[in-house]
Amino acid sequence: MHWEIRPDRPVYLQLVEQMELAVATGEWAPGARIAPVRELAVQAGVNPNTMQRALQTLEQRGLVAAQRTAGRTVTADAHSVRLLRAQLAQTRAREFCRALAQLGLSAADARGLVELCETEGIFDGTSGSGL
Amino acid sequence: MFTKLIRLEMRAAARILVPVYLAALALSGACALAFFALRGFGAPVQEVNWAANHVYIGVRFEHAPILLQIAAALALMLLQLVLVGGVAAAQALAAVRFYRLLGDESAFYFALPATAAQHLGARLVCAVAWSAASLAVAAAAMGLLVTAAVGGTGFSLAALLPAGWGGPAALFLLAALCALAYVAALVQLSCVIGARFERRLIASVAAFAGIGIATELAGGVLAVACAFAFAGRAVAAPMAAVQWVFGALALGLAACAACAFFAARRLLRRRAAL
Amino acid sequence: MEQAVLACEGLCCRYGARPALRGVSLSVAPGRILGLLGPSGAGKTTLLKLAAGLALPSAGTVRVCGLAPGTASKRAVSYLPDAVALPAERRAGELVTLYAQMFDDFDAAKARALLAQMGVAEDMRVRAMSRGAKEKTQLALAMSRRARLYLLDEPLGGVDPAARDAILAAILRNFPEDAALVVSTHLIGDVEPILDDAVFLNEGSVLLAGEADVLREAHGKSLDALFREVFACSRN
Repeated sequence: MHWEIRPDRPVYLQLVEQMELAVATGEWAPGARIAPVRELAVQAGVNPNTMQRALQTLEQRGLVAAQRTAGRTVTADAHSVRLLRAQLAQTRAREFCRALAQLGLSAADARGLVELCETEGIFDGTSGSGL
Repeated sequence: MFTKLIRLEMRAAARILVPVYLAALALSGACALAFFALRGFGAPVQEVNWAANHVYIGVRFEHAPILLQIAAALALMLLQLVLVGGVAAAQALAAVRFYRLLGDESAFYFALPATAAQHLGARLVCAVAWSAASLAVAAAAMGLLVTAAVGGTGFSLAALLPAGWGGPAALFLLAALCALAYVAALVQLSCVIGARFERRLIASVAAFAGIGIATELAGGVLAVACAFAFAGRAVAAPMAAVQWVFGALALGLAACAACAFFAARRLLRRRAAL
Repeated sequence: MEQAVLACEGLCCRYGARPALRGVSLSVAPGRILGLLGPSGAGKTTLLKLAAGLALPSAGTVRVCGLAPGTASKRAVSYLPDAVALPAERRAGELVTLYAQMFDDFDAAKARALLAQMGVAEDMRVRAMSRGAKEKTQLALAMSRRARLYLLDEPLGGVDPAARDAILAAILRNFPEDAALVVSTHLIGDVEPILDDAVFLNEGSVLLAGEADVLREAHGKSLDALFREVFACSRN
């Protein structure tokens, strides 16, 4: 997992966001074991307390479950993951639309752009890293 | 912690001093062999002169080739240098190590859970122990040489000495050890005083010289005073009197060493939480 | 309320006539990593030395686990000095043995593992090591003690960026959960991500203090940027 922690925002928020993304994309597979707090903290280069807090937030949101003796695992509940994906997708979509609106484009333009991306194969994953 | 510090110091000094001792003993062994060889050319001529204020005990190998005699003499001079150097080396090493202690290494040593007294005491004990070891090595080397030169010829050093010399000799040794302890304690005190100044080395040397000279002057004045006090008095038992003198000297030096120790401890405790 | 591992109250310290610390108060709870951030000469090293018992305050108090600095507190403190305090003629492996002899809570196996991880050869003499290797050696020795308070003075000084990551990882991996860690540095940007709490120090006084994330959120910038701002203000 690639961690991208920027110093100008609260580290804890960034950790939550990036872990949620990992769950949503399936990088952290449902039911998979998560490394211990300390290990994750070292990987991300952050304070174990901050990582702990972030994981606790994920627990509260039902994305991660804490087993008493076996550490933490990603939730196996497919419904929660779908819900999360939908939330993240909506947030991204809103950002996209706001950006287009700022450029003075309309909803019809937006639809046209989405179809363009489809022909470029972005949704099939057959295009390059994406431009 | 005290024993740990002592062990640390002893080992650190051993790395440097033990090779020096081994070299000294090897050199004296070589000289002894040379003397033994020289004896092959004829028995040595012994000379014993009691002059006004010293005793000369000499051995001359008259019949050996001149080159061999010169070589033996040179080797002997070198050995004397090494032996005197041994004692000086032990004290100098302790001094250098303590000086470094108050420099960068203080971040390591003073972070140890040890008190000022433990730091000072451990190093003092080691300085004296290694100085004493140097003296012992010197004595052993000399003994080796004397045996090689005149062993088995009926020459006896002990016969030359006045009766009852054991007591004064022992006290002389004690006084010597107290002197070594005082020098080592003075080095420590000087370094601690010097550490309060910008130019640490100069200040430490100055403190050492200053206090050292002051003690010598005080000692000299005391000696002269005693000489005047006892002048002209017939001394019934000279050996006993000598014992008193050496004993007093030992006591005085020990007291000076203790003063230096406690002064250094007090100053150290003002520097750090020791 | 757990007892603070390090507590300073109105701490003042002077070198001769020059004041190094002017009334600093802070406290570090167990399990926290505190960053002591500021430029050179701010008083960071002085503060750490006071906590380590290597210097004495002129006013105020400093307590480690409730104890005044002394023999007892030193058993619970692992101090990493700014300059290299290691005897120059020794090898890294010998230093591990030395520390094992002097400290009861020293884990020699861990120290050797750390040295290996950070790429320091055990048979290398200190005087032959590069600056980075010396820092790594000192750090390995400091982090292999099971102390309650770790005081790291500029652990990243004079070290290249790749080595900095190795050092930060070594710090994060090896400090026990009930211990507290104080890191002092002027390289704020490098150390930021691992901090719980931050104290900004300048010319012996505390400019700003608080939890790292709270400060970031409140000011909307990194601690590095925040410090520059605060530092600039304090100069005017």
